Amino acid sequence: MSLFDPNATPRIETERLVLRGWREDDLDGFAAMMSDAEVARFLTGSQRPMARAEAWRDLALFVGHWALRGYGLFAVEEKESGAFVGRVGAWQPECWVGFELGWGLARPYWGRGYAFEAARAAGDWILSAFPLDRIVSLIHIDNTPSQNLATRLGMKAGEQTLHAGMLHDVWDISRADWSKA
Amino acid sequence: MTPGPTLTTARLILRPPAHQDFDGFAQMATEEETMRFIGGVAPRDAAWRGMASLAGSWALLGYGMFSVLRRDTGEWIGRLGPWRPGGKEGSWPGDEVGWGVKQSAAGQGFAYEGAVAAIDWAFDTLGWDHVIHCIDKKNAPSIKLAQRLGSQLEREDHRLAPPFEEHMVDLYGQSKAAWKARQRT
Repeated sequence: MSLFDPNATPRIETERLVLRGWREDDLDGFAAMMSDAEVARFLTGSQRPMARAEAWRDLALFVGHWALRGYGLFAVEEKESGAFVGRVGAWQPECWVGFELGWGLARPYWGRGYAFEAARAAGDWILSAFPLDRIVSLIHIDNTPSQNLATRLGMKAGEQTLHAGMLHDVWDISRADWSKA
Repeated sequence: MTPGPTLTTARLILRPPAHQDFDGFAQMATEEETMRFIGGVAPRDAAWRGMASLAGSWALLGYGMFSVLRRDTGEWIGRLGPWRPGGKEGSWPGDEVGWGVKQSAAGQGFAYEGAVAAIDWAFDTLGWDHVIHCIDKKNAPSIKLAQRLGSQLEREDHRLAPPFEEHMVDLYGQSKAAWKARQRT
């Protein structure tokens, strides 16, 4: 039995991807993604790969974020294969630096422009759904691929902040600049 | 909104965690005595993540810990209920009903009252046939509560799954049949 209604989460289609609500069976793909040291390096507080039990807790956190805030991270699926590709979307747990546009993909799907495609669509959704002046992205200072993606999205690095004991840049973009990009 | 039922007891309301409960969660997370055996004190951001994970459990599994509110004042006093991170496929040692009540509400039988309602609900609605409680050996008040509920020590020194692999717990528990037999007496 599950009371979870993934249809309560908006479904966004891009050329090659679907952004949708989380399902229990996303755990396999998500746990595989987070067990990869290269992915975990910038996406976990410990910088270490996650055990499956920890990945479940993260997934519960993502779903709970939707339940409590009314927005959150989407599961990203590849249209052609239906495979789980990663997560992208809105992120603002308590004490966060701002309304974040976040992204993270499983390594097999890197280098295809998927993260840009998903982040662009998620950012469009965020700005259409919420009356925000700006969105931010918290990016580890050594995370070059995400810095490149933020630049491609038109974002600029601003102040630095400590998150999980590690230095991150707070990238941001105004609503006006996002719609021009 | 977090989906899930609302249970009512003589003095309490149990319902899935909602956003307005957060100040309660955050306050309880700072109480050293309360948190000593249930993960330790946590700052506000971690307390929010903990609350969100409970809400997420409801959404993913159809059950999770309830927020507990006093019927007379509406005050949030703790969280308790069915808990099995990862579900049946996960690495949790069984179908748990766990509890935690903030300091100002401790010692008044609230955890017992809420746990009875949660165990009834778990057996009747979730189809569980056995319930466990993961308890630190040194957590005397919780061991006493487990025994008051009729649960018995079933396994010692069980190591929890990550991120709690440093923690050993004793498992207390009982079958649905034992629970139902006891309720009738």
